Amino acid sequence: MGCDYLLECSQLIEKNSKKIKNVIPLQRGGIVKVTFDGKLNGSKLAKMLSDLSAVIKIYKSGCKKIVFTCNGTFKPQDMFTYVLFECVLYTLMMKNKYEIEVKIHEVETTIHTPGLRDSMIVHFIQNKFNLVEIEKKYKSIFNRNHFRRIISASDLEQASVLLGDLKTFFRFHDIDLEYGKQISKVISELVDNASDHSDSDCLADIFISDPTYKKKGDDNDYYVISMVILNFSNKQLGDDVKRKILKKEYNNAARYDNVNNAYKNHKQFFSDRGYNEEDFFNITSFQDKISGRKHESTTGGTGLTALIKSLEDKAEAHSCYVLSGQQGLWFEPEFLEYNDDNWIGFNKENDFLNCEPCKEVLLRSSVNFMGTGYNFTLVVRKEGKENEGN
Amino acid sequence: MKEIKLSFDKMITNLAGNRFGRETYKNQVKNQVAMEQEFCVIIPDVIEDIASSFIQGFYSELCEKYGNEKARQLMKLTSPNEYVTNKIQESIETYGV
Repeated sequence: MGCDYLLECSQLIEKNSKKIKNVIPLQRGGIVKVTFDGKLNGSKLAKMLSDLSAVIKIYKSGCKKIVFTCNGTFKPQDMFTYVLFECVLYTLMMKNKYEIEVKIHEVETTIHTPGLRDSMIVHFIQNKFNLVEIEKKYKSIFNRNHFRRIISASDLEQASVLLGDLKTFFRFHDIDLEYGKQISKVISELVDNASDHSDSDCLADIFISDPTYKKKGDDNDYYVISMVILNFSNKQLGDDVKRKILKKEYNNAARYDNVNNAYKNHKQFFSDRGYNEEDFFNITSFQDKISGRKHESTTGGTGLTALIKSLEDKAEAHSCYVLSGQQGLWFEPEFLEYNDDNWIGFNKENDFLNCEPCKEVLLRSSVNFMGTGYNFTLVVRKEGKENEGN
Repeated sequence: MKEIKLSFDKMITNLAGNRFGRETYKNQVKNQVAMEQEFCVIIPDVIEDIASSFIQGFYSELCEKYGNEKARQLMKLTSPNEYVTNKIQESIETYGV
């Protein structure tokens, strides 16, 4: 995003401004108090962003400090929600230079948020005056359970370094060695994709719980792995492939012609409130051998869907999705099959070329997310020590 | 057959990233081979793993010039590390180049 701060989200705040009747009052000393519901989800985050946008626009440097007070127990919907909140706090503190105070009295983790107690929000509460420590933690955390890193778009070797470090991270735990390698590859591929397509910095934030989860009627112990990969950008997920298809920026590639024909077929399904063109190009982004890269007609598409499917095959998947703008896709395992021609329809028919996707896979968000973000929650069995190989 | 050995920073033990693959081909391979000459590229044995994104990026320029099949025929990518060689083969078969 061309600024001095890695992964700041001032555009996210700005783009989520809406007309509001009552701006949060500016109190003596230039203090603004933002109260938020502990059950933080997309719509509540969207309201918060809109309020903050108004505060920044109207009070400008008249506002010196923002105090965030959580109403009730802090229990965000998923990791993506609280990671986004962290980015907002960081931006207000570092870019907008506000003094930030966060008051959260009680925190409750769920299967979707196992890492909440080790999140950046805890560091904000504890280190509210220590900007150096916050900056350091925001860029990188590496402990037994928590791996967080911001990867600069300009460093081409970072995806490789990331892959190696992630594999080390997963080796701390008793999960299947090949599975740990597979997750590491998915993350590094998603990060590389983000950097390549949007030329922006990317965050990879992974938390692996202790193996204390149990399933009914099952003696095994389970880990919960919660992951977020996100970048901020004006470019949305399907933008490049949309441009490539509609402007025919490909050379005689039959597969791209097929997508073009699919687009013509799908147009009949588009509606204002339901399935639309943006959904179509989001789905197209996940097709095999289809890429938004300008000069690639015969290569391209990193097989992301196959990678994601491989993660879900060996784990119980909860709340796995991609979000870009206000739309996205749920990665439901039953809809992640390639058909014989290697198309994914995200529908029961398993037909991308002729059939619209199943409504259940279409994700809608109150937050207008400027960029692309992935959220994964995977429940993985703990391996016995005797199963370790290689 | 001409052989080209790749070299990487000491910190790198895994290869990932489409752009990195493209840059590596451009910087270490492209100017060392004549047009339509078959050659073999060797990944050093310190590299323990390779992602499909790197392989795709590495092959992309040749594929755009000659098409996938001829690109694979012209450039063989291999490693003394059997695991890596198998991963390359798997990746080419699954995701194509």
